[in-house]
Amino acid sequence: MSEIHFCLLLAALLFAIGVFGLLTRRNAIGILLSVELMANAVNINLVAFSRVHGGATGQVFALFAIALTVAEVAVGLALVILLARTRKSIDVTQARDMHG
Amino acid sequence: MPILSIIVFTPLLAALVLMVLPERSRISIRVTSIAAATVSLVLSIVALKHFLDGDPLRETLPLIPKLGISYSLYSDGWSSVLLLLTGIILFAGCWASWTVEKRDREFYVLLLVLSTGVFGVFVCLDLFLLFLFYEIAVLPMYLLIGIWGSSKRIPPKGPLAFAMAKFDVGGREYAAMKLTLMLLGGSALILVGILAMANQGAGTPEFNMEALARVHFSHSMQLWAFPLLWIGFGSLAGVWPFHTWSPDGHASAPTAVSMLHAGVLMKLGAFGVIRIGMVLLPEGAQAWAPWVGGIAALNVIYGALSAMAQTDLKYVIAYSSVSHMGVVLLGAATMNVNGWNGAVFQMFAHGIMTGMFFALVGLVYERAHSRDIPSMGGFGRAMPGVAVCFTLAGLSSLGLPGTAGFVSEFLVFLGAWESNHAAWMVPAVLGAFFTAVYVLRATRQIFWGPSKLQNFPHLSDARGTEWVALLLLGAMIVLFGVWPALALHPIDTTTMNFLPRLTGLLPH
Amino acid sequence: MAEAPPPMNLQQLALAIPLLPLAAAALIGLVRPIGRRGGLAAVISIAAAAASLGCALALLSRTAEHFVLRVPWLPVGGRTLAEVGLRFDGISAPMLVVVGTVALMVQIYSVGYLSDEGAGPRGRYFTWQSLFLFAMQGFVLSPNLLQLFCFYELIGLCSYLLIGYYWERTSAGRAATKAFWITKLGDIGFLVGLLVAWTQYKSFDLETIQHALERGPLQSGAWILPALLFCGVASKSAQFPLHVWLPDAMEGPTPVSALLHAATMVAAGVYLLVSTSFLLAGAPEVSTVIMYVGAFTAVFAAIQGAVQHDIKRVLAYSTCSQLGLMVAAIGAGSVMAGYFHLVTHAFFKALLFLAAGSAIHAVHTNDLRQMGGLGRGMRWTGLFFGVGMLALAGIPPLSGFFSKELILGALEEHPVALALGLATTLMTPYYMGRAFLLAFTGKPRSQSAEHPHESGWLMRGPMLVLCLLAIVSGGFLWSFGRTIHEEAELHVSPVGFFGVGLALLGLGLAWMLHGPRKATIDALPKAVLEAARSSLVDNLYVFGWKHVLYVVAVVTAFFDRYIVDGLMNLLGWAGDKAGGALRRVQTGLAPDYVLALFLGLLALVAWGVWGGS
Repeated sequence: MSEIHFCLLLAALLFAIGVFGLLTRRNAIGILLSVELMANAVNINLVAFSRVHGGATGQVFALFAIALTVAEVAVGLALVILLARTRKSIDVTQARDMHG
Repeated sequence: MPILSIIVFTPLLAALVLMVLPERSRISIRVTSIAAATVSLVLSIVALKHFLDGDPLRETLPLIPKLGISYSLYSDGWSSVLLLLTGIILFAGCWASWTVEKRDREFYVLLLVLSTGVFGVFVCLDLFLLFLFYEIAVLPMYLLIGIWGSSKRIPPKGPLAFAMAKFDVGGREYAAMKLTLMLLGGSALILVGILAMANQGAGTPEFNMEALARVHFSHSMQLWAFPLLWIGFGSLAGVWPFHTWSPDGHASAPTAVSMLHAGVLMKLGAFGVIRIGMVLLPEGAQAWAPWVGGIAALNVIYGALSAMAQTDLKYVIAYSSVSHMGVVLLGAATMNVNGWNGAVFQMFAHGIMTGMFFALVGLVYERAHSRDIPSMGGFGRAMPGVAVCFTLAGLSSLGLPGTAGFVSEFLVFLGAWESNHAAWMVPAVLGAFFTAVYVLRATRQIFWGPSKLQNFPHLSDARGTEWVALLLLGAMIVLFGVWPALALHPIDTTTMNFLPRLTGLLPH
Repeated sequence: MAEAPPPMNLQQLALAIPLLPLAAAALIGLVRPIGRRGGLAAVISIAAAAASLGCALALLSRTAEHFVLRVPWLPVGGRTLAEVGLRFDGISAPMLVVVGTVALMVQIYSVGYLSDEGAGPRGRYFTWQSLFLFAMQGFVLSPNLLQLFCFYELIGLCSYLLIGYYWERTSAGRAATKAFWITKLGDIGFLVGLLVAWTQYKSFDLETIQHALERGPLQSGAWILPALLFCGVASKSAQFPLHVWLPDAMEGPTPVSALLHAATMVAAGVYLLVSTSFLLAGAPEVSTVIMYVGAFTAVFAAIQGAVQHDIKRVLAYSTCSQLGLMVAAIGAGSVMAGYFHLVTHAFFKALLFLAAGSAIHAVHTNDLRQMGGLGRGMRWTGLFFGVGMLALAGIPPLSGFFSKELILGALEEHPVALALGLATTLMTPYYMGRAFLLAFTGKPRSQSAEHPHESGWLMRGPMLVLCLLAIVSGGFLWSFGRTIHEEAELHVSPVGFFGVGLALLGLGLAWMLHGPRKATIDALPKAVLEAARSSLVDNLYVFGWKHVLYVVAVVTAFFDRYIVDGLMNLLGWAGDKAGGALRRVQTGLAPDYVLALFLGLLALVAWGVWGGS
């Protein structure tokens, strides 16, 4: 099944890029974008396996995931706006009041 | 009538009543507290009388049968005498605290809650509840010392002054924190020991001491469980090297708190070692007896030597307490009838004597605003009554016949002499001699000699409310010195009950 | 016809002897309105002492009806460990009378002596005097070793309180605490002796121990108990090296010195020895040691007494010396000699002290160098002091002669001890003569000595009684012997004559050196003076305290506070620092927490894939 390998590889690559972005980006919106990347990588995985097994389970799952991701991004952007308003900056390294 | 429960919970009830009393009414606060103390004191005498008549009081109520926890109170000879001690000290302490200024209501509330804990420990037969009462007795100390204590420190003098000043730590908050943490550390060890004993059998745990007394714990288990209880309870009893909370704690604490703590709480620790550690784990106790006795003997002489070098009056008395608690544990370690009787009697005698000492020291400090002995002198002119009482307490401390202190020390010496470790007698007797040295020296330095009264303008003799405490305690010292059988008889009866578990055969 | 009322119960009489003074002490001490009135306190105290003496005298003739009363005191192990009680027999009866007599005389004298003290202090004085009488008589009547010990300590307490009567003087406070400490040091031996007695005889009771020894002596270790008891004896009776407290005890008022530190308290040690003398039968080595300690003390103290300037210290060292003779006699085997000398010594030494007190009271100083020629204005006092001096010197037919005879007779078989005893017999009259002559003859050496006023009859009366007793009590020898069931053989031996000769020689020397014509203060060569005045033993004690014990104490305290407690503080500090280090993990940066999350997830996955099997 070489087809599935390419899809999985692509998904893994996207996920890795997403994780890297998540861990290293300072910009809050950048982090959100990275999370999007990770979510979409997972979606690719789901659709790929759906094609392998036949049936629509994976695709349905992916649709749900997209919907949830949209909701999550909405909330996330709201938080970013709040952060921007209160701290005049969306650099996450600036928000460390809860340190030990 | 559930007399024991009334004794235990009256102070708690009084504390609750106090919480609803208006803060401004000083008299009603004190009257309520003293009333509660009186009730407990009178009923403790009743409990003792019951025991002497052969009808010891017992109250049982199952609480959590699945966990083996029940509400069992029982006063045998030891418990009755120690209940009496607590009642006396609580009563005296309430009177001695008459002049507490700020937040007196909260002060009395905490004092009474503490007393409930103490009363509970002495009569509780259920280990779980005993531990609960133990914690209730220890925890209010933190607030009492931290809020109402004194942070006054005497600046160190002499060749090592710079080092001492550099490492000198804190005032009352430090003392309170250190005391609480060390005692809680001990509690942790106690808890492990208690759980080990309770979970020995299959099925449900068993916390009742009388039931546990019938269980034969394995030798190896006793070997590690006993030291846990010894060190755990011992840290409250002032066993070296876990006694260091005591000097700072006593010195920083307000008067009644010191009276209760040195007079009663330290006895809780010793009581735990003997009543729980030695009686329930006899083989472990036998195996560890050389250590218990050796360290107790060290306590006696170490405490006495340290007391000799102190210039702060409260520290002298505090180290003196460490020394006398060593006598208690030494008597306990001898595992013979004289030693055990002496140990419990010393708990009683020393409790009263040290209660009196701290009451007196509190008096002097309150008026002189200083505890620095070298700066004092000739106080006998301004406070003759205090001088007489101080001398009496001091004489009991050094074991003068006619005072309660002599009987206990003599019995412990005799016990040590007859035990397998007669060598323990040497530090014990030396400790008694050193006690004479530092006590009389302190008395002379403070009360005798040419007067330094010009530096202390507010000195006066004890007032009416203070006399109550002093007269009661002084009378007790003389009464039990002249007629020791009053307390010794009940103590002896119970000792004869418990001791055979350790010696295997009745003592000669 | 009405029947004569039955004689009072013996037990009640015996009980009254110590309990009457106790009641007086309690009354004066605890009832403030009485204690504040010096006069009333004195009356109560004296009345109790007189009544107590009356009971003692009533009992004196009835020693045949001896008894022991025992009341259980310490219930231990289901039985009685120790009892309290009374022992009335031929040994205790004479001592009761002696103590009672001297105490009563001293108390009456005190009223005059302390007349210019405040009422409150006088109340305090009589409280302690009555308490002391209780303790002393209780001691004499003790039937067992434990009770002897208890009262021994109480006697020491009263001594402490009375020496410290003038507590506002630093020297008085120091002397009182020193007396307590030194006697306590010896009492440690006594205490250990109690424990040994228990181990060896399973009883503290004197009668029981005596019967046990009669049945059969101990296999081994019979010497331990008498040796330990002697430690107690040595401390109270000021034997070398525990004698250093006695001269300093002169800080107390002179009547106190007369009662406690001449006649009764210091004699308590000798009495203890007398009561337990049956133990010495099985321990000849201990007897020998006791004899030599006593003899050495006698000479040692006599030398020191010869060089003192303070009249009370002369008498103090004299007491120490005479106690040494008593102890030596008992060590040599003659309880009779030691005990009888105790009796006669009590009378004439108390007389000497009271007379000295009378002189001190008139001149307001203890210093011999400031006295002189007092005999002219104080005829009675001079007479009393002179009689006391002659009695002490052992001039017949005064009482001292008889008791000295007995002592020298007892020491006859032991040449070294005898030599020491004879040396004492020479020096005693010398230093006493010196004191007498310097104080009462010659020219006055200070303003106040020029016109001394004789004491009132409150002070002269007791002195007169004691003077008469000092003269005639030699005649009691035979009835005394009968009472204590000992042979009173007074063989007039060559040694005895030699002793009298030495006494006269000593007096003559004193007359030559210190008599009205020459009146030198210090006649001995400088070197001897220096040596005698050096307080080596005292310095050793001070060294032991200041440079040994106190140093150890300071080191211990430092160790405790900064090392043992330091360890606890270290734990706290370590906890604090560890917490601080661990805190660094909590950076507050969300990306760091996410990283931790991912690492954990990876670990979980790895464990799931490769671990779980």
